[in-house]
Order: sequence, then C-alpha cells, then structure tokens
Amino acid sequence: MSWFAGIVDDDDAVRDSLRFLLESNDIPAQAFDSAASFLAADTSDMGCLVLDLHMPGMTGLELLILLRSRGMERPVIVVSGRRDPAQDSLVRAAGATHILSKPFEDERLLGLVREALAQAA
Amino acid sequence: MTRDVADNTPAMGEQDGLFAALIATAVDGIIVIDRQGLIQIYNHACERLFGYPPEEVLGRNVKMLMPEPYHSEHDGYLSHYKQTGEKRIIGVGREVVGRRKDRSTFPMYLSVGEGSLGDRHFFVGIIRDLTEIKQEAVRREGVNRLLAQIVQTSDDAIVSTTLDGEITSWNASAERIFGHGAEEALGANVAILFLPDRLADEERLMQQVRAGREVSNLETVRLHKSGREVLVSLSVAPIRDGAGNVIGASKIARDITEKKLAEVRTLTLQDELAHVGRLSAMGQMSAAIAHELNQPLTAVTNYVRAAQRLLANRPLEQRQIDNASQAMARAAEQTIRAGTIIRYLRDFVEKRESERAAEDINEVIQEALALGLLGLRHNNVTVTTNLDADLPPLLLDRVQMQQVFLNLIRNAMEAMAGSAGELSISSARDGDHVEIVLRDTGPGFSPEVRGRLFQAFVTTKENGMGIGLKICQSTVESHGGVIQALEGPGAAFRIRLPLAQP
Repeated sequence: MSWFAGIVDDDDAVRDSLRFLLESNDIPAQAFDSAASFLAADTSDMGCLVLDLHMPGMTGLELLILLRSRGMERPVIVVSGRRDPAQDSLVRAAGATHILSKPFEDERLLGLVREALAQAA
Repeated sequence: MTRDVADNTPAMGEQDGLFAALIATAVDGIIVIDRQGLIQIYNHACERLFGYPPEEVLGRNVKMLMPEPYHSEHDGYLSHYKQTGEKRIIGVGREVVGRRKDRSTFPMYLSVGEGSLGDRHFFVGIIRDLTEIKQEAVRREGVNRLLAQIVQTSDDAIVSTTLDGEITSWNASAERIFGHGAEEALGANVAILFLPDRLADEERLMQQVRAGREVSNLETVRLHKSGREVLVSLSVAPIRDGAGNVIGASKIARDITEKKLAEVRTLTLQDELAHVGRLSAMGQMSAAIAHELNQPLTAVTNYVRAAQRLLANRPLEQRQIDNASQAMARAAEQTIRAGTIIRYLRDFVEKRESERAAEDINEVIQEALALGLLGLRHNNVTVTTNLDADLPPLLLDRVQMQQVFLNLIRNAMEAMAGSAGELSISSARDGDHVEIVLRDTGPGFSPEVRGRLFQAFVTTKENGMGIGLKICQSTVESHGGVIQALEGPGAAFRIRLPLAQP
C-alpha cells in the first residue's frame, strides 16, 4: 500500500511547489486547488494532509472541521501565511496536528509528512 | 365448601372445622382432586380465580379448569403417574395456564402435593394468580425497551460505570463521539477518556457521585480514541441498587466541540476587526503586502529546496537535472511575482506625481479588462461595456488606475467563478466629474460587510497582484476622486474622478 500526501492550496505556485518538493523527496503527493475539489476526490489512500487556511469558498479551517467531524483521523499539517495566537488555538482545537508559518524550512515539513506516512503504513 | 374430605374421615375429629376455615380463607386457590382427577375441594379463592361456583365444579374432572394442551393431556399425566410413580409436577411448583368459566386464560403458579387418608389418595393443588405480576413484567420490559431505544438513539454519549470506573454500558453516540467501539469500551476503565493531567478533577467528580450528588452540564475535555480532544458538556448522576446504595455512575456527555469552535471563531473575527481598526492604513497595507509576499516566497523556498535535493542524487540522472532546472525556472518566476508586488507597493506609497498624464479613461478600462480576463480558464462570464466615447481626458497615473480596475474586475470574476454571470462597466460624464460604475451578478456583500469594505482586509486571497480595496481607495483618493460600494444586486462600485483643470 502506497500512501500519498494530500495538498490543498488555492495559490497555483505554492501548491505546485509543494507537490514538487514532496515528489523530489520520493513522497507521492496529490494536489487540490480548493476544498471542494479535495472533497470530490477519492482520498482513502491519503496518509496526511497539508492544508492552507486562507482560501476563497470553503476555508482551510472549515474543511478541517468538516473532515474531523466525519471521523477523518489522519494528521493534518496546516500552513499559514498569517499567524496569530487566537487563530492558532482555533486551528488546534479543530484538530490540526501541526501549524507551520509560510515560508517554512523544507526539512520541517518533510519530517512531519514522512512521520505521518510511516504512521499510516 | 359444599363437601370436604372431612366428611369421609371421622378420625379428624374437631380439627375438621379448623382446616375448613383455613382452606376457605386462604388467599391462594386450593383444589383437592382424587386419583381420577375429580375435584373434591374447591375454595373461595378458586371461585374468584376461575369464575365457576363450587356446584359447577365439584365432582367433575379438574381438566375443565385447563386450556389446551393441558386439558387433553391431564388424564394421561395421572395414569402415567399411577403406573410408573414418576413425578412431573408433584412436590414442585411450576408456572402453568388456567382457564376461566368464560374460557379466557390466565397465568398461574401451581404447586401440587400428594396425600392420603386411609386408603384414599388425593392431590392438593395450590394456585397463585400471576396475571398482575406478568403484566408488571411486560410493562417493565416495555419501559426498559423504550429506555434502551432512547439511550441508543440519543445524540449524546450515555455511559454507565461502576464506582471503580469500569464501563458497563456504552451507546452508539458514545462510539461516535469517543471513537471506541462498544466491544472495546465495555469492561474497560472509563479513564481511557480522561486527559492524564485532569485525573484529579475526575476523582473529585466521582466523590460527588459516591456522596449521592448529581453534577450537571459541566464543560470539560475528553479524549477521542485518536488522541484528539473533545469538548463535552457532562452530566453525571449516581446509580443506586434496590436498597438505595450508590453502586455506579451514569454519565451523559454532549459533544460541544463545534459549538465552542463557532464561539471562538466569532471572538477571533471580532478580535481581528478590532485589531485591524487599531492599525494605521499603512499598517493594514503592510500586513496585506506581507501576506501576499509570503506566497511567492514559500513557492521559491520549496522549488529551490526541491532542486537542491534532486541535484544531490548520485548517480545524477538526466531526468533529475531536468526536473531541478524546471524547479529553478519556476522559482525565478515567483521571485518576479514577489518583485512585482513590492514595486506596486512602492508605487502606491510614493504616489509619484511625475507619471500622471492626460489619459483616456475608457482606454485604461479596456486595458484593465483585457488583463483581467487573461488566463481565466472556466469563464462563463459575459462582459458588457457602456463607455461614453466623448469623455475628455483625465490627468492620472495610467498604471495605478489600471490596477484599480484590474483589482475590481478580478474580484468580480472570482465572485462569479463556476457559474454564469455578467460584468457590466459603464463610464459617463457628470458635471465636472467622470463616473465609472462596475457591477457583477455574483453574491455581492451583506450591508455589514459593505460598510467595512474599505476599512479592513476582509478579503479572501487575491490571485496574483490584487492587494486589496484599501489600495484602490487610496489610489482613487490620491487622484482627487471617490470610490463607493453600491447596493446590490451583486457587487457594485462607483468611482468618481475629477476632470483635468483646463
């Protein structure tokens, strides 16, 4: 069974570069440009999710709450360009496993994703 | 009693009267039959139970008081016993069914004994009516079933435990809210739901229960099987045994995670607005710029790190070199994007007068429109323009003003994305001003949002270069003009710009 890392980010460049970074490190990745396209996809083999918060339509936080309420228990790593303590606590309460500030060190993200995929396997 | 055994047993003497009184006043039904099954004694309690007066019963076969199959089988029992001596009911009691005179039946407990007087053998049956006990059992079973159904279908987790915390019941919602299936939870200790650093709180809660007290609507935190925290509103009540001793606890937990999140979300939004209100216009702009810059910077970091990783492969394959080269090219594009954002910021901050020239506002709008529609993939939007061809030239910074229209057009396109829509743009002269109106058929703004459109960056993320209505406003105002959000339907903006002084 090969688990993939999911990416949801509406910014074309951020989304593409994230997928590129993961795949260069031999981590299978699937990228989605919105919460809606993510929800429409088959993500049963997804080992973890890298999620942007600020998106038009359904936001990252709303997607996170929806997934957790549906019983999705895989790690979710939230990446945010704008951090503040109130938002962080909200995101944690919604079930985020980690929160990273954009831009982030690649090793930090890769470490978290590898750990999550190893857990899933 | 019309006839009793004593009639034929003179040896009983004066005790006869005592026995007769005993039998007559007994609450339970008493029937005596002979070895042929013929009824010899039939007391008052039996009259009430079976509805027959004694004269209709005495001397007749006892099977008349039994429904099928006992009715047909009774003679067989008796002869079987006479031949084999094998006892079925004699000496013990059992639950059987009796039949009344009106042919209705009722459950009864029958104990049978055997006796003899001289050479006469007889059987004594003592009958207790079970109707009420049965009805009570059925009623209780119904109540229990109803309760079980309520517990099972409740949206709240309903769990019972012993005083030691062993879980003794676990409903469907408990499984949904806490993640543990009933088979795992039953018999386990309820501590599986506790946060390790909250054990003292739980102990205090159980002390209340042991003391017979209830705890209502306590907001606390529980652990989901996955390790995630669940916010619950908890009510706990003692469970007592028949003697009133507390033997356990029943706990009802309502999942309030989402409700709390909604509360926090409202608070956060209020905080954010208050915070934005305190920021200067420049502070707001730099916050928005910082956010916009983080996107290309993130992409650049990712591409460069990916390229670095690819080039570290040994042996290095051509495919990896190609991928790394592609990543570097994309990184370069993103640095240009970042540079563009910074340049626009500088433009707006400096408000350079030098680049202002007499311009045709309709041309500026047309160019912005061409840029705005560029690269839109799923474009179901019809654009209609109604531009006054006789407008005099305006003194303005072409690039800055283009940016204003581009921003508004992009916003409109995003708002109508995924569905058919229409964007209309008009320009017209109004005295010594030119008035430009843009209107889309998207969802528009609530009055509350419309009121603060220009105060805060309440925006979702803009694609590319748009950096907010605040900048549109400062550009228009630096040109001596005014921008306003109009009432719906859709989102609509009116920009008034002064004509160049002659």
